[in-house]
Amino acid sequence: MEQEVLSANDVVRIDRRLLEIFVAETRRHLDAMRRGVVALRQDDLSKASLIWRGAHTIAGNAAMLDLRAFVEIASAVERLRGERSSDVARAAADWIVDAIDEMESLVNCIEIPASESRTLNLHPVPRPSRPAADA
Amino acid sequence: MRTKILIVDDSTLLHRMYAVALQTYERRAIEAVYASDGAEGLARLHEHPDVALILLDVNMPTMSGLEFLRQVRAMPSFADVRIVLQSTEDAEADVARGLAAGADGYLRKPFNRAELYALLDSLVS
Repeated sequence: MEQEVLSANDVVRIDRRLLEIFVAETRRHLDAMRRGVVALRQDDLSKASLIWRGAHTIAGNAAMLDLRAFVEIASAVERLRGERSSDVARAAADWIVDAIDEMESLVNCIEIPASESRTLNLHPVPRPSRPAADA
Repeated sequence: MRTKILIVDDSTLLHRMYAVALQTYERRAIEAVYASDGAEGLARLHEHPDVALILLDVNMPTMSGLEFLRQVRAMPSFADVRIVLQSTEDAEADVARGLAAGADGYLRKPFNRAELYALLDSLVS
């Protein structure tokens, strides 16, 4: 069932500002999450909370816009916070970096149209596939 | 007469989405006041003591939603303000703690405009 309102299919179509905010806020949190990973590797678990806070906000924002790829990745990162052993989280640092890279790739694919009157493409634009060689 | 709502959420996107949605709520005029964490929320609440409803995120920097909730519920001057938690799907424990601490309900993210309006209908109309 599609999100009815406050989501991609309604409000965003007439308010490109939402997309601009999402992109800017996501990039800001991804930068903070990278700092959090550095802290995690140095056993600074207090500063490592930047990872979980960023993932939480990105997941919540993306859910409101029905951008499910972001929700899945960010939620998976956020779930690591529940690990009782910090060893588990530290071991997952490389995986978290991969997740951050993937979300950064996705956010770079979002098109923000110049005009508010256009229908927005809220979902990441598939990268063009390499054309098949002529037979 | 306008009904004043305080929205406490660290997401700028959520602030904007509320602003857009509240523009088309027809049952009564809503004036929204915004804060980005619990500490700022307390400051806004003291500046706007006529707030009727608070929509409160749980996971925020500086001061969490649950700490904000406990502090507001400890102040008799705000005993009548309604407080609704915004929660994500996997935050049942936070919701339970919030309800135990005096929240009047919760709104699960992602929510749509109909759900927001139903909440407003039941709490401020």
